[in-house]
Amino acid sequence: MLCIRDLEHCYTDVPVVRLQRLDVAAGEQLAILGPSGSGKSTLLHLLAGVLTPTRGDIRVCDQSLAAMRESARDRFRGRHIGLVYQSLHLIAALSVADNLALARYLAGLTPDAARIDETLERVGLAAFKGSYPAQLSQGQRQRVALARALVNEPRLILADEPTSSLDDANAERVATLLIERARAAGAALVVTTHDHRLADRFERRLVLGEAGVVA
Amino acid sequence: MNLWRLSLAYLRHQKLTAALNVFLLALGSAIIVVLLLASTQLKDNLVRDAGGIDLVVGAKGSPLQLILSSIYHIDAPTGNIDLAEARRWSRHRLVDRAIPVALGDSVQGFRIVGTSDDFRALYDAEIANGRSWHAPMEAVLGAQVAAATGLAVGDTFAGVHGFAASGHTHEHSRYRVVGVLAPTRSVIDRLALTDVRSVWAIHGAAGHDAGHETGHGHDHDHDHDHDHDHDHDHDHDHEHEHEHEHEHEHEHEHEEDHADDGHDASHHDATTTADHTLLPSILAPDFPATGRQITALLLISDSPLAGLTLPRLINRVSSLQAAAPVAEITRLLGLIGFGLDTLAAFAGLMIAAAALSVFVALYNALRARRVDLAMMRSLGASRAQLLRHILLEGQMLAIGGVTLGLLIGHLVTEGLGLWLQDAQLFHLTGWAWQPAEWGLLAMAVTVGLLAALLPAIQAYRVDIARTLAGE
Repeated sequence: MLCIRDLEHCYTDVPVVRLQRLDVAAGEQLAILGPSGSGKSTLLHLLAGVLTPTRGDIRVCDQSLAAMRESARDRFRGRHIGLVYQSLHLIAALSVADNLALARYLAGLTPDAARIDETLERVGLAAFKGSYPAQLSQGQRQRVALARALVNEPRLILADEPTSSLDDANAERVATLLIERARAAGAALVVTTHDHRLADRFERRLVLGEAGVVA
Repeated sequence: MNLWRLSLAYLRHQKLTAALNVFLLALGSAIIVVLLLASTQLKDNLVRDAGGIDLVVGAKGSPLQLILSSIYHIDAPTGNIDLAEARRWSRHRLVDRAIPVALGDSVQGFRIVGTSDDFRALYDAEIANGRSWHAPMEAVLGAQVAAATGLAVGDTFAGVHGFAASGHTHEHSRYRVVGVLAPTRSVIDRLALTDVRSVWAIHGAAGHDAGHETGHGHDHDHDHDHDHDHDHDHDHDHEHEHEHEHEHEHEHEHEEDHADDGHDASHHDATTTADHTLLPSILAPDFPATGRQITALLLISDSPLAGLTLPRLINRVSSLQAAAPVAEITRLLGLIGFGLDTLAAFAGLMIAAAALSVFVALYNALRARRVDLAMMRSLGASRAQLLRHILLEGQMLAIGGVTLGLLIGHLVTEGLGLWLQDAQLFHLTGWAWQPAEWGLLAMAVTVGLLAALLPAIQAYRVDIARTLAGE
């Protein structure tokens, strides 16, 4: 599902991320750990194809991200990779349901109201589909971001610190949803976190040390 | 979900800013629409009211005033001219038709025009009700006059001296309405027509002749003219007394007339129609012109030479002046046009300000929306889609604003038209479309495009990773 070979990414000649080899199979779940500044977010952006690595190759679903043209990569990411960012980035101008509808539209998928309702139901937000992000609590917003990442049935789900801004109860709930939904969909799940409440639930962990080099 | 709904959602999210921009654009374009509609319709009205008249001959003075008073009926006449001299020009070989105009009185603010029956033909005005006049003191009312005054065929009314709604009333000699014209949307709707002889009958000494004509026929005119000349020789006091006596006679005659009408109107009409009818032209060579005056003479010519030759000839040779309506309209529109241009420039400035405001709104919004745009990219949007998304938003504002402006402009013009209808000025309607309005829509598209271009290019260039991570 996800294969990384000889990956190196540099900002102004200083390597930030260096990763010899990493494979994540379909349905497998991996937590990337490390202190702030260890390059966790950069690695996630590289995996999403948002950043292009200085060296090395990342293959998702047997397709090389680096080999794609930019617009093809945008479309590929929309279809096959579900992203949950640390600061959510929900579209404030759109309702909860429309945020999900936008994800389907931008990925070039057919609008599917039933699928949106079902996805919101699974994260326990069916009653909030008409609400706007500003009207929701932080925990609810986090679940909207999760639903948006799930609505296109991605093969790979990437989540950047999905629980770090939540209280225990919400962190627990989001972590459970994330793990269960990914498993149910048979998607590979990669999360970056320094939050042990989340990290402890993953069997497979990758720890990034200083300057993103695998310790 | 699509780009339209997305752009619309962003506009709704910034309701006040969007509303302000739409309003600014609407205001600017509404002003342009009103100017466009009013100026073209004003010109159409002026041309239609000129009724194909090539030349107006009147007393010396301002040519514009002559045109305004004797064609558009919105200014005081320049003075009177001698019938004899007017007739000389009416018989010029370049003149095909000549129509006399005698002004002086009004009814409830509508002007009474002493003229000949040909006058109606200038405006293709059909008689909707009744008939044309067959005798002095018979009047045919324009559609608007009949509607506003409530006068109908068979009613009588007294003319008021001058053109104001109130003034000295000529109670001694009342007009009888014999016809009402169908509406024409031209100046004739606002006029009460009668024979020139009626005006003579009411004003000055010549009036006695006209009065007598009713009873005795035309043959006696000559004798009465002598009387009239004598009147002039008397000193003022005497003349006054003299008039007074005559007035009494006059009223008696009229009362008898009315009695006749009341008892056997159809008989009266039948005989006059059989008699046939229209009074002989006062411009005919055998009509005694001595001492008589009219206000102006309307000339129509089929010759292209007439417009050039006649005015020069008339202005040089005679004590009269000739003015060409087309030239005066052009001059008038030139004067008004200057004001219109200023207003149009002001409206253009307003639209430019609106365009700038749309630009600033989009530009500022874009700074706040960089993250949204980057997120959209990471959700699969291409750069081109984001470019279209922002351009679309600019277009929505611009087209929305101008469409609203067109709507407001047409409504305001229609409102102005209804108001002007009461003021008896000219016919103005908002339910007309000028081809130039398409230009306004095209301008909206351009303005929207220009205002959104720079922000759209910035959207195109958004760096996803740096934007999403850079917090």
